[in-house]
Amino acid sequence: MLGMEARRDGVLGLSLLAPGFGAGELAGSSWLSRLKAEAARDFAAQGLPTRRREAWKYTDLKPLAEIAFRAPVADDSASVRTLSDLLDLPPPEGSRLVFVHGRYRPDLSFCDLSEAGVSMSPFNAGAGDDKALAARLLGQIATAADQPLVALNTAGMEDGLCIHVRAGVHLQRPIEIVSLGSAASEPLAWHGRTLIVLDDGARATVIEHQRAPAEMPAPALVNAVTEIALGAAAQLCHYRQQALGTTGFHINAVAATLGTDAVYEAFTLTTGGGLVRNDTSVTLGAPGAETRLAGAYLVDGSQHLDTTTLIEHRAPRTTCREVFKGVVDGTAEAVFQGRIVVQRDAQGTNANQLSKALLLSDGARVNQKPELEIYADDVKCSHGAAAGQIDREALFYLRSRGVPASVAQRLLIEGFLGDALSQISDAAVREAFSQTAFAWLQDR
Amino acid sequence: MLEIRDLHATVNGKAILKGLTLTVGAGEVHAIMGPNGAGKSTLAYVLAGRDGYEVTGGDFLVDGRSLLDLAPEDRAQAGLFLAFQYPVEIPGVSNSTFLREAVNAQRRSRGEPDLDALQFIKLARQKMNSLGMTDEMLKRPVNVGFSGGEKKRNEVLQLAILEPKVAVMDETDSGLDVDALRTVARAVNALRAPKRSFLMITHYERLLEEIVPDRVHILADGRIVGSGGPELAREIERTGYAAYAAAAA
Repeated sequence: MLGMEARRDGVLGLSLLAPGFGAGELAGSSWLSRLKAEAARDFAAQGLPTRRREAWKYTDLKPLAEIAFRAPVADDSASVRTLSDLLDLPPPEGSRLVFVHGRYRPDLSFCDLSEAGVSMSPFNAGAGDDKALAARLLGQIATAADQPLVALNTAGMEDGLCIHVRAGVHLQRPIEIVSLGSAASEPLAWHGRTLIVLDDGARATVIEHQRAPAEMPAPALVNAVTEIALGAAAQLCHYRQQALGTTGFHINAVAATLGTDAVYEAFTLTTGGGLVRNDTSVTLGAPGAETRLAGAYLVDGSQHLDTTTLIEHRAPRTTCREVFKGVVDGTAEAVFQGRIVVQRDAQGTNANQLSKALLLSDGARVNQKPELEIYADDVKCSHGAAAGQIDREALFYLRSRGVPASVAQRLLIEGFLGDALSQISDAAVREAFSQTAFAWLQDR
Repeated sequence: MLEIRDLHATVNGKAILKGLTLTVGAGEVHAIMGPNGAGKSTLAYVLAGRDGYEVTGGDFLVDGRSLLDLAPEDRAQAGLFLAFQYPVEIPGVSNSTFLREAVNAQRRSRGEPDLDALQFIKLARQKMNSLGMTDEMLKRPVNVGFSGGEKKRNEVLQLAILEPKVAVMDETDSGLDVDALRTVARAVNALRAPKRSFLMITHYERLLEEIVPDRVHILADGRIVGSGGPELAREIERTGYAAYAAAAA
């Protein structure tokens, strides 16, 4: 795919584009081969981002360049049995689409065909009826030109999923996407890709489970990209649970573009992953569009979790609300970079950002960088970033009532995270995510 | 009952309690009065086991058992309760979650089974009714946005639910208007019991008009410098602490 001339000094991670990598079944379609070839060139020109790039100031991908990753071979040898721990989920309410190493596994999936007005098409199935939609939008919302990992994903993707909800359709049951990695003996890299399109007035809930075994014999690179396009007055609730093994590199980019009065609500709960980067960029490009981004993370050991958000207010009366809360233990490190840009035309913008980290040990670290860039004059913006320890007064108060120190600490952490978890508007998801977070606290 | 024996304590290396001795018999209510800086709140925190309050001598016992070497939660489980002067706000933790954890922690220490959510609510409602409170307070985060009166009532509710052997009430009257003071005092009076001892720490005599003590002690410079009946509180109200402070110095 690449000539030797591209392997010049200072470009990191070119081995990730090894010949044949990502050629996969997708090469068949001409628009897609063009997109992938272009993305490969984009990646070769940029390489992996270094910390000199502002957006990657606090997260170092250099270790990635030193690992000889391979693309997973397309077989079904990762049997249901070896994956059974990871598939230990409550029965799906609606559709559950399972991907292993970025490839769709119909044998593990369940498609609820009872709801009309929605299609869920894996790319390798030709993206079904939504081929034209995919051809039009893929790579247009998350662009490869200035985002090397999106470029790498586009060049390397071998399958993916297009979810399309037709105008005015309100899905009654959530769509679940389960992305699994198995314990492979060599370092594998895969690039899951999802495109979610809600036509005007459509409503849907998408729940993602990103999972891999806690102990992996070799590091894995999961480099996922999700593109979201919401039509006028469409509403998407997008919830993610990330529990990758601690030897995993987990890079996620979500890019969403919203129509008039559309609402994008997202919540990400992260407990696993060695190095996790969650990049979310939302373009509020039409009047009245609203996004609510929230997340909670619980990390320890030497985990590194980077939450980076970019909200762009481009139209009048657009709203964003961000609430991120995290617990950092051991020598783990958390990063929050939250940038909000209010363009000149975005009068009446309401933007609100909060990021708080609770440090449970002396070795725990957090870097926070809120950034507001405002070019309009009629706006309401606020942001707050804080890091602190458990409130000793509160701890003493609880203990003075007979509550043991460990339980008191857990109660206080639960209370701290509650602010973020309460942002989840779906009660069942809120309950499930809270359980996961609280179980992490119980087990620590 | 509560026995404090020649208690010495320092805060940040500074001696605050300098040989305090006091016994509150079962079913009795004693009041400790004293000027600012006498060591009243220090005594409360030393008894409850707060970090940074170092005991350098003496001992104290609840029902004949020394609690000095115990963690704060173990002291509470042994029957000691401190009603805080400034109850702490805990965002995100509901009053009912907090109280249930506290009740169940204490039940476990006695080898009793946990109360489930329903049993707990029943108990809490019954206690609240008897104290004239509404159970709306249970749903709210612990003390967050509570008025001064609500915070103190919440302390009394905890006292009612946890049923301690010894209750130390630190400046329960501070920050309360006359009506709120009466409400809280009525609740405390309702909780007086033959096997429960109260130690009321206060600045002013006002509270002791509502909760009439069996004994009044004057604390000055880390020691009890005078004791008497309820009339001692009224005398202090007239003459002030100056004479006692001078005696202590």
